[in-house]
Amino acid sequence: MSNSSQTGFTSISAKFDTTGLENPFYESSSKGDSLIEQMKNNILLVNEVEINVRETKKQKQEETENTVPNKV
Amino acid sequence: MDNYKKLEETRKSKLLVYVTSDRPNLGTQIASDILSPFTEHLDRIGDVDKISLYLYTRGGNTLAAWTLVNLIRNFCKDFEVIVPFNCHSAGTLISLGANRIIMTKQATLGPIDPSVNGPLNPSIPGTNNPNAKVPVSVEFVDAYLQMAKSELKITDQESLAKILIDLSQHIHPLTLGQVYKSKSQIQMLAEKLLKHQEISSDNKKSIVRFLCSESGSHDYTIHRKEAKNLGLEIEKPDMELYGLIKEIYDDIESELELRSPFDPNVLLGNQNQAQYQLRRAIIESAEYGTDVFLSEGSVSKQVAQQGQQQQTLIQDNRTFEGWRREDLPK
Repeated sequence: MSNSSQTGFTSISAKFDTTGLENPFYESSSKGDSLIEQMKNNILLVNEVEINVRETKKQKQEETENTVPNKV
Repeated sequence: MDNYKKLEETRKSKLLVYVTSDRPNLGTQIASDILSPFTEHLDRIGDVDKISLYLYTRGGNTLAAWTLVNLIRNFCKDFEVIVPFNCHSAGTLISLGANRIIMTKQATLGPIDPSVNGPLNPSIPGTNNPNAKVPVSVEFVDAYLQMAKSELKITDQESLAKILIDLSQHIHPLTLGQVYKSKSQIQMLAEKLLKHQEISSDNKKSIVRFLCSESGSHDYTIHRKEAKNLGLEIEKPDMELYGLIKEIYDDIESELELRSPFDPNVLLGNQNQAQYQLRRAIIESAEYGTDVFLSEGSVSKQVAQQGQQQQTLIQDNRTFEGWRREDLPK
């Protein structure tokens, strides 16, 4: 879900992270569900009580990536 | 590095240190991108009798863990893992591949039941982030089906088929297929890794069963006594060794700021822009110095007015993320 339409701001400076597209077998040590990973080249909306990540091109690109290997 | 050399002398081995940060909001995991820096360290160390791996981690990729153990074993006859504190999930899997595990009083291992993560996983309800997915625990899927059969006594094929169809409406069939494959794979990996510990075949199976399913939830912790009772080859460090392990841990905890949650707001403070360089994982040896997993970039703050509401926007501009070599020991 995008917050762009709610706020009137678009994330024009968002960049593609093409690592996954160029090499689907590459897996980063950065944990996918961590805040630092979610905020990568994104805009964070900082509310009084929570931080939400806005939808950007990066997220759309991530949806096309292959299933990552299992984690334990 | 002085403590590393002391530890090598005490253990009569070559030391590798591998830490993935569990600093809140800065989660880092065992992943296949470690294999290249590890190879560089091992090439410098060369073929030796014994390697000690000092390991602190919350887990990560099972196959990266499996590959790392096999890589290290190609360089030594005897392999031991030193656990200063947390060594969970894939970290525990690595430990199973050692001849012995040295555990402090505060050291913990954890279950190795895998979770499947991928774009086909169910989304987290109520979140704004479409990429936030629920990890599908292999054991939880199994427990759900077992509950239907054992607890609710549902045995006829038609009802079981309905349960499966219902489950596949919540979890994608390909994810369920991956769950099934992962369950057998993790058991196979764990049994193979345990071959270097002096454990009977029956006991190996019971250890794997416990670590994969009988330990309950994934956040269960296994302390030294329980690990020993399970039948694992556990060594208790004497006071001198413990002192060294603790000193090394304290240094790392301070270097990676493990106790202080990462918060971009705090990073900015009263400024509108701030640079950051975050140290998130390290691979070190006395022979080849430090490789560090870094995130670098800048964050800038803007305040936006929307009607009556004022919102703060933080823009991240990541300029580097990955492993970087640092100083060689003098």
